[in-house]
Amino acid sequence: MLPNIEGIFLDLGNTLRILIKDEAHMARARQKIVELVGTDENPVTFCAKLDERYKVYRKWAFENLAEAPESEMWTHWLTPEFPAEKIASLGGELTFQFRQSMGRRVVVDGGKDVVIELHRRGYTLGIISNLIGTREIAEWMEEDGFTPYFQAVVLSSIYGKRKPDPSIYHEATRKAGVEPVNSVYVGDNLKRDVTGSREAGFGMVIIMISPEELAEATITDENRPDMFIHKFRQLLDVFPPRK
Amino acid sequence: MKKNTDIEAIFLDVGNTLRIVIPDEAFIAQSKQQLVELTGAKMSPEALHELLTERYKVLRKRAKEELIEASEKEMWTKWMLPDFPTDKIAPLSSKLTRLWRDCDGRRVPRPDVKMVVIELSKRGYLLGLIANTITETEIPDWMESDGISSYFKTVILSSKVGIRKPNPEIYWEAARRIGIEPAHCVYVGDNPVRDFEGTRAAGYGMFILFYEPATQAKEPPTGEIKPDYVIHECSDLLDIFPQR
Repeated sequence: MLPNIEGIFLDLGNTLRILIKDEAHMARARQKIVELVGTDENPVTFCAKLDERYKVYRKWAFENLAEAPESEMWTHWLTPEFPAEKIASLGGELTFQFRQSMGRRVVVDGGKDVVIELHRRGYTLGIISNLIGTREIAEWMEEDGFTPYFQAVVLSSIYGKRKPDPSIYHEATRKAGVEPVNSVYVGDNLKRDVTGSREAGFGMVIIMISPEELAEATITDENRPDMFIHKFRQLLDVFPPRK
Repeated sequence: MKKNTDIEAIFLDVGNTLRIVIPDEAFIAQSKQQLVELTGAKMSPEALHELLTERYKVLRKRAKEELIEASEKEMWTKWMLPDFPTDKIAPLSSKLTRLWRDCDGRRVPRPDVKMVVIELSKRGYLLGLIANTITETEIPDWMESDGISSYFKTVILSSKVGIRKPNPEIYWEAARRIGIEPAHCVYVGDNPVRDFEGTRAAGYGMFILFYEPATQAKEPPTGEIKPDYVIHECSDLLDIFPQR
């Protein structure tokens, strides 16, 4: 039997949105970063250096299931050689541009329609995502008209803890006003999304993965989700209107 | 000119040679429904079928590229339903395979199959089957229920031997099992490319193309394909192979 699902919590990267390697978009962001920091270095080499340092930061974040405040990420990890007082105040903008330097994020095919339809069918919707940056998501949701459909948006960059720490899932269900057991998590990561939402007591977990990637993946009793889907709109096949 | 009586063993393809698929809508709908019931998937038959189709495409691609065939068990536990516990799906894999194939339609033998099989056997030829197929049980069951099992000395299914046509190994395995040199074997199939190249690589004495417009349209011949004969009905084989 399917658990009685009331709350549907979505991942962002590779679930509701995908990253497009738009070179012009990325170049603009790199240019913006060197201007903000105030360096004469070539934007490409400077950002390549940031990418290397970001890997070190990511390692720390993964190991500690934590996310540093934006200003600290820049003063401590990414640009420690620049004056901290100046960099700290630019943390928000720098993070935003740094994310853009990785590519342009677009909503998956049919993403908005699916969200609206799930909402119409009576589900409480939320977002639980590991990411850096405090303003990008709120701005994007507002711009794309997603805001009214989500009762809870919990981002590691704001909450401070990262998936698979169970507390981030509990923060989301608490905000949304649903019980974990009546909640499903939809993500793309076979490791942390499955174990994290299970440990948090979620009633169900769905992994969105291409059939090709699925064929390559090693599925065990530990990382097996309740269901694999290949397209975001297949959520509509799984979740009928609530009575 | 080789003499047709040099041929001692006749190997036949199944799909589109001995049998064809009738796209019976009611039968297909019922099969899709049964897939939902058997798996207990909580979605509509169409949605489940669509999901499985996406996964099946990846499996098919690998099968065709590497000329290998998964067993029924591997097909369902690893490729088709990895989101279900292995110990639940494994025992159902044979039934699931049948239902999955039934989603294409109803498979029926061509009307003259039985008569031709009996007659070729009577004329002194050894008969065998070589088929690329995902099912391990349905073909032997059909042969049994139609009363033709006893006329076939060997049945080689890719799902059982793990390799697919046109890998020459599968034709050699067939020749070995029937105990006849490849040079004295003929293969009768509908795929002009695969069946021609495979049997030639395996050193079969002869290849007969069963002309099937659907196959020709789906996989048009590339390069030079020279079957020894082209037939349009099973009974044409009786004109080719006299009493030995």
